[in-house]
Amino acid sequence: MVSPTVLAQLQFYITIGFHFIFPPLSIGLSWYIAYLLTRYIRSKDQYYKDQAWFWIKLFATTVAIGIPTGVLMEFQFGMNWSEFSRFAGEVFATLILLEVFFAFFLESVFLGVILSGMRTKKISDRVLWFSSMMVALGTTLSSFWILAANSWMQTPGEPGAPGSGWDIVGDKAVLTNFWDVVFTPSMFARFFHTVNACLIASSFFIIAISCLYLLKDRHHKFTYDTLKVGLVVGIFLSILQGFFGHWQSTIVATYQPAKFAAQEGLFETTSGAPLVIFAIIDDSKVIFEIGIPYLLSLLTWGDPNATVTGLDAFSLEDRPSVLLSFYPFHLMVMIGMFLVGVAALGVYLLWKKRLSDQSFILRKWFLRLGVLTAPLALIAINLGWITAESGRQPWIIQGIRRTADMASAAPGEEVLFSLLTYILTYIVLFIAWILVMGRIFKKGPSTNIEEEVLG
Amino acid sequence: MTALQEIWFLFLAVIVIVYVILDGFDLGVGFWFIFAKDKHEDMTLNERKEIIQSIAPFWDGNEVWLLAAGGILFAAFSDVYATVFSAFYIPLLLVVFCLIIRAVSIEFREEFPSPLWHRVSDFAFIFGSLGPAIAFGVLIGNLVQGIAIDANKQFTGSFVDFFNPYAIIIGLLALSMIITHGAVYLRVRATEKLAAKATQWAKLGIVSFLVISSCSLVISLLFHPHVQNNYIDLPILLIIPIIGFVFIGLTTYYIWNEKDAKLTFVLSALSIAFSILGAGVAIYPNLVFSSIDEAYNLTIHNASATDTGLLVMLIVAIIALPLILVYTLWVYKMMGTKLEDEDIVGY
Ligand code: HDD
Ligand code: HEM
Ligand code: HEM
Repeated sequence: MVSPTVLAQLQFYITIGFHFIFPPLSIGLSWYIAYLLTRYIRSKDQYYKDQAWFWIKLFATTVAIGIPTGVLMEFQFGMNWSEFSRFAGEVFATLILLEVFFAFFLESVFLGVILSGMRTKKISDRVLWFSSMMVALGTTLSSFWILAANSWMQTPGEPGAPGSGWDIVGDKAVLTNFWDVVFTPSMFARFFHTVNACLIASSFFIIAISCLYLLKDRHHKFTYDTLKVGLVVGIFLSILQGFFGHWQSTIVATYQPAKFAAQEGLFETTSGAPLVIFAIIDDSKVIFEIGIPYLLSLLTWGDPNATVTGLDAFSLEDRPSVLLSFYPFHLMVMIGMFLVGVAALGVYLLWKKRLSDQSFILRKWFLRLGVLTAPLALIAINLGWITAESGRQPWIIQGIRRTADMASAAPGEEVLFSLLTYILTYIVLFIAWILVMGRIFKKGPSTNIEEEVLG
Repeated sequence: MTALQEIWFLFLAVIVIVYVILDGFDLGVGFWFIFAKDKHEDMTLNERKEIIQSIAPFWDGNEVWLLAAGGILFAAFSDVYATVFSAFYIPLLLVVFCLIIRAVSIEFREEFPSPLWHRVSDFAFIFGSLGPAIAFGVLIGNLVQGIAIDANKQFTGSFVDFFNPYAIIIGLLALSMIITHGAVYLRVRATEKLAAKATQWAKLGIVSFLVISSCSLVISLLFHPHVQNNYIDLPILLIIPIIGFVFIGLTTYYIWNEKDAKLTFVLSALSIAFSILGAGVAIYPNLVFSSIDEAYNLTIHNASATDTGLLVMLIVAIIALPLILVYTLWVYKMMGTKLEDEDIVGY
């Protein structure tokens, strides 16, 4: 029998990984819908409202799964990680409570207005616009608070030290200064990097839908307009993501050196460390690697000869899995660069008017590439989380408490049973999600504007 | 001991009350869904679609009150959250599962016209609505009766213990409470035809509620006399259950005589509020009773966060709750108008 802790970890990964397919799209789409409705309110041009309805339908499909899988996460801390909850509740859950009070309520109440309005078409334009703003605000605040909670687990600081905002009394974490706990050292970098990732994923989702329509030769006006917005926003944000990622990395190097060593595949402490581009490794050694000399030291500490801490600085039981940090991290970065490439190509083709040129042979290939970017961006998000979470192991709260001591006493069979239930449910949900999206896609945006075939 | 712990106990009670009043009606309509026809005789109306539509704008916002109650336990009474949630692993798994399939069935029901899908989705809605209500009732029944908690605040029993007669009666009590409330809600919101049906449903509901609640009251007083302690110590508190009985009586009268639908809903909500408040007074200051030794009960004093933590949360709640109430009420006022026939054919 696998230990209940490992099962619980597996379960946490599967449930959060699944949940986290949907919020990124809702965060980005909610802002896009708010943008379209703002343009509609300003111009009174029905075209924008029709577009907005189309995205609202896709958005509704996404939140319908994002919400209940999130509710599950909320229960899971107590069910699977009861000793963590007992220890950290006062500090950690205060942030969760803030998420409930300041984000979930806002989001859910106004979501109801939009979804019902979508079906009965009985609400006024102003109310619709206002609600879309509130939902967008709600989704973003939600990510703020949950990321603050996660950041505290990553970089909690020293209990009792000034500036850490919390202490250990008896066997419990207690709050001493609320703001210090909210703004832990990794909070801002994580928030910008993650929210930007969500916006990127949504931009490429929009791009992918447009490319699919072009491949099927439908809805040309709508599609070109959408593709333009998607590509311009997408290229800007995905370049920006490199900078946010760099910022994240320096924070990790400073506060979680073991994770940093693992994600970079650095086994020995080295001065003038190379940036590894490609490697074959296992958990104890490098088998083969290609790297750019001095670059890691330069990027991390701004000095090509600086010393970067390797895994050898940590005793065996304090090391995270290199496999689970190195590969996800490098794949994420590779996807990030790939996305920049596709967006750049797209902007170029758009500018040269090649995308509307049916005789251009590579057009179809580019469109297929465009479709591929949406799942890739979502995969990159999950890979990022795997890096962040598995790099923190064996700690559940970095340097404070170990994961292995914090699971519930719930028997292994119960955890296994629930794990199987979730997996089955999630497979069904995912299929339903795809099917509903497919139907909405087939119906298409109900544009009043004549469909002109550009050629 | 500080006033903050008492304040949070009260806050928890208020949040639970709001949760039961709000999510109660949208879970409760799930029961009447069984008796609603998919196609009405005149083929223009579809009662099941109408029931879903009557709760569609609200169910999600209502469910957040559950998250708020859970969040308060987690933050303010971490030991209770940790012990209860890991002890009730299987029942809570059921709750979560129900909430997931229910959400999807509400949002996706009309996406596929296929009759097979409607059958699956309707089953998910019914099961997903009634499951949580019964499970929460069973949970509360067990907490009042006492579960095997040892000196380390750890649960040492097995989940089979939870299925005992007392807990099941409380489960049924919760069910009868919300189905009545659900029918009363439909009277307010549904079109004339369905509202007329709901009036009859409400009568059935209130009868079941009166029977089950009297039984469970008697059984609680006989077999779990600890619930009387606070009332014996401070008899003035009896005013709360007495007000509760008055509201239950009024609700019955209003339902039976088919009086004003909106007022009936308010009375039904007040009955729920005072019933829960009465139960809260009965268990205070305990949150979970230990069946091993009274000394191991989880109380608001031995299971709570520190004063700093509670104060921060209090400030948060004082800022947030009025805002939430304002926009929630605004949305209810705007979206909660009585449905017309053409609204149902609409989407
Ligand atoms: C579309 C998604 C996406 C893309 C293109 C990237 N990332 Fe990322 N990355 C995430 C999505 C993401 C994430 C989901 O947002 C994570 C997971 C946890 C977190 O804080 O952000 C993350 C984590 C994460 C971490 C770990 C932070 C931690 O341990 O807390 C680092 C160091 C980077 N990223 C760096 C990069 C770099 C250098 C990128 C390069 C170009 C990059 N990311 C692209
Ligand atoms: C352990 C971690 C998490 C928990 C416990 C959690 C909890 C929840 C809950 C309870 C909901 C439903 C709210 C409702 O009823 O309206 C939800 C939805 C949502 N969550 Fe999560 N969540 C987690 C991770 C995240 C992360 C990392 C993000 C973003 C960065 C996020 C963003 C959202 C958003 C935007 C929604 C709205 C629904 C949707 O957009 O699909 N969540 N989450
Ligand atoms: C959305 C994306 C997320 C993904 C994909 C993710 C992934 C993971 C993974 C893979 C693990 C297991 C790591 C291991 O044991 O090797 C884990 C554990 C955990 N994560 Fe995350 N996580 C996410 C978000 C969050 C957030 C937002 C929080 C906090 C609010 C959080 C808190 C935890 C906790 C409590 C555990 C369990 C203990 C542990 O194994 O570390 N996670 N997560």
